[in-house]
Amino acid sequence: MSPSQPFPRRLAHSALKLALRFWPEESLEWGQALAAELDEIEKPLVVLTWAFGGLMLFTRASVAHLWSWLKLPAGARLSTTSLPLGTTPPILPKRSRLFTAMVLIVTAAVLVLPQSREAISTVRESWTGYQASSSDLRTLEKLAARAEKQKDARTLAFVALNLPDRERAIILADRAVALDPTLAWIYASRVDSRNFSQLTKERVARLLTSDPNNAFAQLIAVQSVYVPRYTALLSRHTPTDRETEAAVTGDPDWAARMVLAFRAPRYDSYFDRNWRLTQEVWNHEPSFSAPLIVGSLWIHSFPDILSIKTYSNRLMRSAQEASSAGDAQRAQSLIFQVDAFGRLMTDQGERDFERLYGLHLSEQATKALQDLYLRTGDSKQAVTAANRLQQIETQSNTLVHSFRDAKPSLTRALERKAFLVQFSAVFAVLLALATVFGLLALELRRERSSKRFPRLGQAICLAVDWAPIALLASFIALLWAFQPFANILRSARSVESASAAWHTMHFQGLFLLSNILDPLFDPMTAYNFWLSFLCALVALALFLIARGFLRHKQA
Amino acid sequence: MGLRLRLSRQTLDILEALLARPSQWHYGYAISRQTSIPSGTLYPVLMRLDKSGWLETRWEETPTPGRPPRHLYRLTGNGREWAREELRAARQREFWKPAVSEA
Repeated sequence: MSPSQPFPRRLAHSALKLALRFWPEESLEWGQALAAELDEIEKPLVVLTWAFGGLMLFTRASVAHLWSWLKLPAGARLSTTSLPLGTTPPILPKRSRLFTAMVLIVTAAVLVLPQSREAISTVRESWTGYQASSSDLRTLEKLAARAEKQKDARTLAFVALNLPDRERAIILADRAVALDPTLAWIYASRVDSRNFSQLTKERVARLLTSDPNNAFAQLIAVQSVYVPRYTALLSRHTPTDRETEAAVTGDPDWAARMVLAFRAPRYDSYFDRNWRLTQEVWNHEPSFSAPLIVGSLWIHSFPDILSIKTYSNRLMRSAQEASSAGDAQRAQSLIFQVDAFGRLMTDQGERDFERLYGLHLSEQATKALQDLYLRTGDSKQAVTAANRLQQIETQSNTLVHSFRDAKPSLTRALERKAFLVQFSAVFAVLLALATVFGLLALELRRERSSKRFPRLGQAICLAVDWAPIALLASFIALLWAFQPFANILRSARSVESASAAWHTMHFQGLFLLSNILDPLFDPMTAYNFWLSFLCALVALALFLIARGFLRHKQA
Repeated sequence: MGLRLRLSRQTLDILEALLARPSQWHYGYAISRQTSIPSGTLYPVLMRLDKSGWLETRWEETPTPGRPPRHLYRLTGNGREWAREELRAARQREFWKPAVSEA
């Protein structure tokens, strides 16, 4: 073919030449026959149609070749020549490539189902204790970008609460609050000992303006002043009780703020508000991963126990002094303040430990009241106080046991499923690796290696024969066992309060999935595991040595 | 002989072309021109006839200088008998009309 030939002829020649390079061996002769006719054709258009027919023939031949290849087991080659005499054929799996491919296609089809994707991502995330992954962070950033464009304050607030980057989070929080000042509570929900410095006077003012009657907001305002100072003190040495109290009460406004907190008509630690915000955004983003949902339940601030304790102790001391001075009425009024705050925390606290701490304050106050009444000879009130103490004890016990009592039957059933989920997942990973390595080893193997290691060859064939089927079976088992956890995730969308989410086991399920793996990382279990592993290795080595010795003797 | 063939109109045309001069060797392009069947259809039919044992093939021994050797085809003895039988049967069924030899 010379460059002086017309373009259609050159094109036809090049196309057929390229096709002949990849033409299956068994029909190559026919391809060459078709190509040899090209020079006999005069009309350029006919040359092109002839070549096009050649390409069609090439396609048919390739499909037929692929089909024949697929019908053979992995590692087998399509060869027209038979093996030389005396040559042992390589060890091959029993099942055809087609069968393996079909099983893997069905497995892939199962994997792309939304339920499977949810199961796999949740299980994978359970392995890292639901730590937000880089893809979760990307999801949050995308949400933030969209929310900023649409001026969607609530979504911005959600991202600000969940983003680990504190600097970026506070910027987003400011934007959200600027758009909707009622969202100033996110300043309170986001803070912990590491970022109290971000809670500037302006931000505290916004929080108090948006929620002036909330004791929790007043406590956050108190913390914003002393926590940075107290943290600095802690970094130097372990402070004494006196130093701690001095650090806490060092702010001249501290007492005034605590008076406001103890007299506030409401106590809201924003746990439910945060949960409702999560649900709202989650219902708009169905593909949210488990870490983002589980993580949002961890984002909440703790009440300032140090200030509450210091201030209540101060009130109780003053009450004792008043009582000693014979001013029972003042003593009673001071103790009532502590009891009132305890009741507020018990009745309106959203978390168990807040209710328990509220009960503790009430118990302390009621005991002091009982002593006061006994001292003043008011036996009727002393009996009322004793009854109240009884009530507090019952309430505390109910609260402590409510969680434990709710657990057994449902938890045990879920634990079994969690174990099956994790077992299937780990098994699936191992089987997927066995399938991939088995297929690669068979398709890329050399004749010599399969003869030198016949046992290894047999093991690989066994893996290729059974691993894909077992892989499919383990994915189906995983999906089946994951069903209760999928239901938990589904129903969590409609659970009204964050506390209910915990109490009705909605999220216990997901934590179980993660916690079931804990024993594996327990130092004692790890020690036992490695000890057993070492023993097994020693036993295997002894067996091999003994067998070698016996064979040598027999020979 | 070997496989049972699906006798399409194109296959019958090709058989007719090969039977026109049964002892002579035919080139692929010549059959295509004679029957107006494109290469993409012609060669699969030839391959099937060859696989069934009705067709014999060989490569040109003295090709035109500067050109690759061409492939040649003709029906085997049994192939000719079989082809005549099939063409007759097709004509009787009015499934096929001769285009080359009796036109």
